Amino acid sequence: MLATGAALLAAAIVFFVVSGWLWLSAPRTPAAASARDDALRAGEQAVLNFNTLSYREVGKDLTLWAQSSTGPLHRQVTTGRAAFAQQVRQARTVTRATILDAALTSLNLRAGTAHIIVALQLTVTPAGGTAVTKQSRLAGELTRTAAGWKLSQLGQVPVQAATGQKPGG
Amino acid sequence: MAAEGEAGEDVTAAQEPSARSRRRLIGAASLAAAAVIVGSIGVWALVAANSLRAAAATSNAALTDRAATRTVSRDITRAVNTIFTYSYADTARTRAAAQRLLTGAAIRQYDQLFALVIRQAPKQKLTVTTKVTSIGVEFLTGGHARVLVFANQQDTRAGTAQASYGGAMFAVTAVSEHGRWKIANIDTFTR
Repeated sequence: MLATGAALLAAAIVFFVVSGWLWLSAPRTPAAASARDDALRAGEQAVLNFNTLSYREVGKDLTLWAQSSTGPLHRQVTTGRAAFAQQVRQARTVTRATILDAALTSLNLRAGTAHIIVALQLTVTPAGGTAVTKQSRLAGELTRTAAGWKLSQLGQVPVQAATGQKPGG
Repeated sequence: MAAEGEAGEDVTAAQEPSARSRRRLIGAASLAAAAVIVGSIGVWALVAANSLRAAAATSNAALTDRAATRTVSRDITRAVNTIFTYSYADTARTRAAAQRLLTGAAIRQYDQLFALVIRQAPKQKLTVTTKVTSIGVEFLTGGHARVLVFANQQDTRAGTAQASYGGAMFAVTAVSEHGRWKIANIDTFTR
């Protein structure tokens, strides 16, 4: 009986070692995958925020711009804020955006930076005019902050890239 | 006390074989219990390993698998540059090259588009050069990928020094065939 027990235990140990090795060697979702998804999601929302502006709610919209950005872009938003708000109120335009598609073009977790490209559909309604819908190609840089990923640069991708110059930015 | 002790000794002596077998029984039972515990952990590990493998097989490797992401980006950049770059003098060459870079629905999509080029380009003496400027892999798993592409086009008409520029954006569904990524679908966001 002891021999049977010992044999049983030995078999169980062999099985345990094999299945344990299979478990240890199984591929795991890398931490980079969730960081990538976070960065893309935050980037899409930030780009959407930066393309949403109504003269009726300039204050609220620009606060969202400031909250969605960091670094140089954040400085641009806060520096010119009052003058820009005044312009928008005078122009009486309403801008709405829809994301058609977006993707990260790079992700550097050590530096905490990523680059995003966004295919955007913009609808601009001028004062008393009819809405105009157009598509826009945007490229931005994301920087990880204590409060998540934020846009540090954003701009349209030019249709004619000067030679030797990096497109976007 | 002595009598009791003697009596006790007698009892042990008499019960010795059954006590030994009880110890053996306990020993065997402990081994079996240990085997069940170890075996259960083994079963758990096996189940966990299988679910990890299943998750990995369908998980998105865009940017996390740098080598695979680079390969998709490179192949699709080359494919887009090739199929949308043509000269009025030799549209057949571009069309032939495209057949090797396209698969599935993209073949029909491209043929419809290129039928227009074959008709118009020679009349307008048009040469178009397409260059991908930005490319981002959204999704990458096994042999499938979705890629967002920004490309710039330069149009030149023979006999005129003027060139016009245009920008395009579209999403490409790519599939890997024999180690090479091909364009299976082009989504131009027209609704």
